[in-house]
Order: sequence, then C-alpha cells, then structure tokens
Amino acid sequence: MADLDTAALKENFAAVANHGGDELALYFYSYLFYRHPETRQMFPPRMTRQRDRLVSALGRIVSNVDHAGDLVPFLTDLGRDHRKFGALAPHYPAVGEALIVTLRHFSGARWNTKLQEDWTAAYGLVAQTMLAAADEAASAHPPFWTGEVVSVEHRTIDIAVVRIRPDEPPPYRAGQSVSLELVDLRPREWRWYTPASKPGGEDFEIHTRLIDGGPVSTTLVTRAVAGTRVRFGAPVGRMVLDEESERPVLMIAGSTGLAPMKAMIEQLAEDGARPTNLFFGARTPREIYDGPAMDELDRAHDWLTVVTAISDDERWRGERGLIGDVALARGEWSGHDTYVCGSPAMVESTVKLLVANGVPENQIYYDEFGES
Amino acid sequence: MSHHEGDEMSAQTYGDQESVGADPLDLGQVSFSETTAFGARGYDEQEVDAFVAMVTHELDRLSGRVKELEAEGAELREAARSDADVVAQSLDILASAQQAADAVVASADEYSGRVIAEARQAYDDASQRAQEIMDEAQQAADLASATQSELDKRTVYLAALHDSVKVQLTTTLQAILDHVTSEYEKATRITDEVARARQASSG
Repeated sequence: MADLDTAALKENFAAVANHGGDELALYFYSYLFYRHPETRQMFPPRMTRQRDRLVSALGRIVSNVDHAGDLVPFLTDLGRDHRKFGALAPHYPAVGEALIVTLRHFSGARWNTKLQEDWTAAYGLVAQTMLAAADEAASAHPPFWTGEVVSVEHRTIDIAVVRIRPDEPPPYRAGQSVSLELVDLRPREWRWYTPASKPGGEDFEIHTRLIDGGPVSTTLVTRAVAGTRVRFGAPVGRMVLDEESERPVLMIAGSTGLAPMKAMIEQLAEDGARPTNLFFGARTPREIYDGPAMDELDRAHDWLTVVTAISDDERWRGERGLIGDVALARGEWSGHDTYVCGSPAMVESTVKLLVANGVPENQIYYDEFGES
Repeated sequence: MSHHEGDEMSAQTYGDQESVGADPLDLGQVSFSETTAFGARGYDEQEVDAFVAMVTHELDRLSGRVKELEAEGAELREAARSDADVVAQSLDILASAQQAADAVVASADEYSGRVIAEARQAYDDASQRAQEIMDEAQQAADLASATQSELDKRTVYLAALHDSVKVQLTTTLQAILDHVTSEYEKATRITDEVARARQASSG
C-alpha cells in the first residue's frame, strides 16, 4: 500500500465515523440494498448487530491499515467466514461501491478525487485478500454444512442439551466450535456452539444456555424440535488437544463450557489416555445439568478425576467456591496442558489465575466466541 | 465569453449534418473575386452580399440551436437532480423501514428476554422455597427421630428394669418358698416326734 495516503484515509474515516457508526452503517446497507436488492437475502431481518459488526470491522481494518501482519489474518478469517453467508466474488464490487458512496455522503465538502482513488484502491486490496482466502477455503470445504435437530432435552429451566445429526459430518476437531444457524426459525442469525462429542459420530451434542434476548440460543432452547433444520459454518478455534503432548491434562469448565471438555475426554479415551482432571463449576446445584454423564465418565475412565464445585449455594455439601480457585487449591498444574471454557469473565479470570500460579501461557488453551 | 464559445463549439458539432457549409474551416477558405465593375475597386459586391446573407442565416440557425440545447441541458439537469432526490428518498425510506423492523424485532426479543428472566426468577424462588420446605421437613424428621430414640432408650431401660426386678422377685420368692418349705418340714418332723412320743407314753 505504498502509494496510499493512509494517514488521510484514517483522518477521513474518523471524521465520517463522527456522524455516528450506526448512521454510517444504516446508510451503507440502505444503499447496498437499493442498488443491489439481491444482496438483501444474505442478511437477517434485524440489522442492529450487523451494523455494529460492519462498523467494528471497518474500524479495525482502518486502524490496522499500516500493519499488514495484523490485518491479513483478520481479513483471511473474514473472507473464509463470509462463504457461509453466500458471499460470492460479484458481491465484493457492490459492497465497494456502497462503501465509497457512504464515505462520500458523510464526507461532504471534504471529499476529493484523491480520497476516492485511495479508498477504492484500499478496498480493492481488502476484497482481494478476502476473496483469495475464500477461494482457498473453497478448494477444501463447502461453504456450509446442513443437518437437523434429533432431540432437545431441557435439563434445567434454561439449559438444554441438543443432539444434531449432520447430513455430512463437518471436519471439526474435539474442542473446536462451529457457527450454527436455525435455517427456518431464525434465518441469517449465526452463533458459535461447541460440539460436546468427538468428531466422526453419526450425530453430536451441543449444550446451550438460554441467554436473555439472545436470538439463536433462545430459539434453540424454546422452539427447536426434532427435525428442525440447521446449517453450520466451517469449524474454528484453537482449543484442541496437542497430539504430540504427553503432559497430563487439566480441564476447567464453567457451566456449558463443559461441552468441549466432554468432546476432548472422548477423544483422549480413543487416542490414548493421559491423566486428566476435570473441574466443573456452577453457581447453584440446579445448574449441574449433565451430572449423570459426568459420573459415568468418572466411573468409566480410571485416568479421569471429576470434581464439581458450587459457588453460590451455602447448603451445597461438596466443594464450594469459584471453579478456578477450587482447581488451584487441589493441585499444582504447571506441568499440565490446561483447557479453560466458560463465560468470557470466567475465562479471563481463570486464565489470569493460572498464569499467576505458574502455568506457562503456551500450555493454556481457551477460545471466546459470541454471535458469529 | 469563454462559456459561450464552449456552447457554440458543441452547437456546431451537433449541427454539422444540417450545416449549409459555414463552419470555421470553410470561413478560412472563403475568397472573393476582384470586382470587374467600372471605376470600382475591391471584392465583388454581389458575392460579399450573398456571403453575408448566408452567414446571417447560419448564425440565426445556430443561435436557435443553442437555445434549444440550453433548454434541453436545463431539463436534463433538472431530471438528474430529481433522480438524485428519488435515490435519496428511497434510501431514507429503506433506512426507516429497516429501523422500524429492527425496533419490532428488538421489542419482541426484549419481551421474550423479560419473560424468560421472570420465569427463571420464579423458578429460582420456587426451588428455593421448595428447598426451605425440605429443610424444615428434615428438621422435623430429625426432631421426631431424636424423640423416638429417647423413647427407645427408656423402653430398653424399662425392659432391663423389668427383667432385673423379675429376677430379684423370683429369687426372693424362691428364698421365701425354700424357707417356708424347710420350716414346714421342721414342723412336720416335730409333729411326727410329738405323735411318736404320745404313742409311746400311752402304749
């Protein structure tokens, strides 16, 4: 990007964004849908989150425009991930046109030919990087996989265990996540879920918690039934077993963060067991939504130790406290491969605690996902 | 002035096909014969008059054409402006329709979120109440079981007391009986001796 005046682009974007990110995105999508109505069906009816995502992606691209090392991996992921939305090469110029028109609209008198040329060139590079990644992914995988819900078991008032049977098994590794869309019930809204079963089976289990107002999880818990059609995108996530490692394993799970741990325990049982400690934490005893399965795993594998701790119920007679604290009080883990999954706050505090207690950062695996 | 030249240039370009031949190139090529009239000098007057008439006619035609095109340009500019207005209005309509849809979905989601939160709260309250009732029942059961075990202890004590009293009474009664028996035997012996003594004295 040698001949681009990146400082001018940043300054122009800051001035434009000053009108309010949502205003900007609203104009952008209105123009895109007006000029290219065929793109409308790629988006959900409600565009609120979509506008947030557009503005944050643009902000990230513009602020990293001088750092190709940070920008390229981001755009590569973005390009690959956009395949599941049905984004094709001809859509990219349409988006570029809408972007330039939006920037010009909000720039007012500051707009000039040089800015237009530079924005066009910069967008060209972005589109080229995303498309190259999408093309590369296309040679390995379809843009999405399809399947259907087999069963929805309501384990507590707000946690359900859902079994899904894919038409073709998606090539995830135990611990990885896939984004999931309820094709008919909540079209074009995607959310990450982590299979709780090792790959290769006829179906797999996901654990979902009803989040107040969260569109996909709410619909999955309250409206999905056997036969509900789903689609999922390519698997993502770095929380997987290191096949080269012979270290023992520590797993710390908060609530439905149990899912990847179950998948990895199944995988360990198949690939050759390593001594494994699973710590499962919940706020109240009613949130122990998968107790029988955990007991069964504990009984079936002599290399596995399962400890359940409850943080918010004084009547609980077992281990009490936050699950990270409980795990650290129970052992010395600096020689373990450590996996952490739960709410973002739980993951952040637990990882900090582990690092502070001498677990090397490169032995700590965790992922954080929200809506896709 | 330059503005007008521009207009004339484009007018000539448009007008080429109907032009009767007066364009700048032709004008450069115009030449007139020397007059041959007696006593006169200069160009042939008839040729010059004819040329002036032709130029006048052509200028009229061109200025009419300029007016036409100016009007046409104004119309086009107006049309473009109203197209831009239509686009801007369409974008506004799309944007507000989207915002209305967003608001409807957001309010449905918000409502469902509230219902769920309330349901969860009700569930938590009910489970807590159930737990409290179970705790109370457990306490009552503990109390009852404590009372029962106290009663059991007394029963055992009374049974033991009963047994020991029974043993003592049996022993005492046996002793009395033994004593009575032995006294009775003594008395029988004495009676026998007395009877024998009486028989011996009389016989």
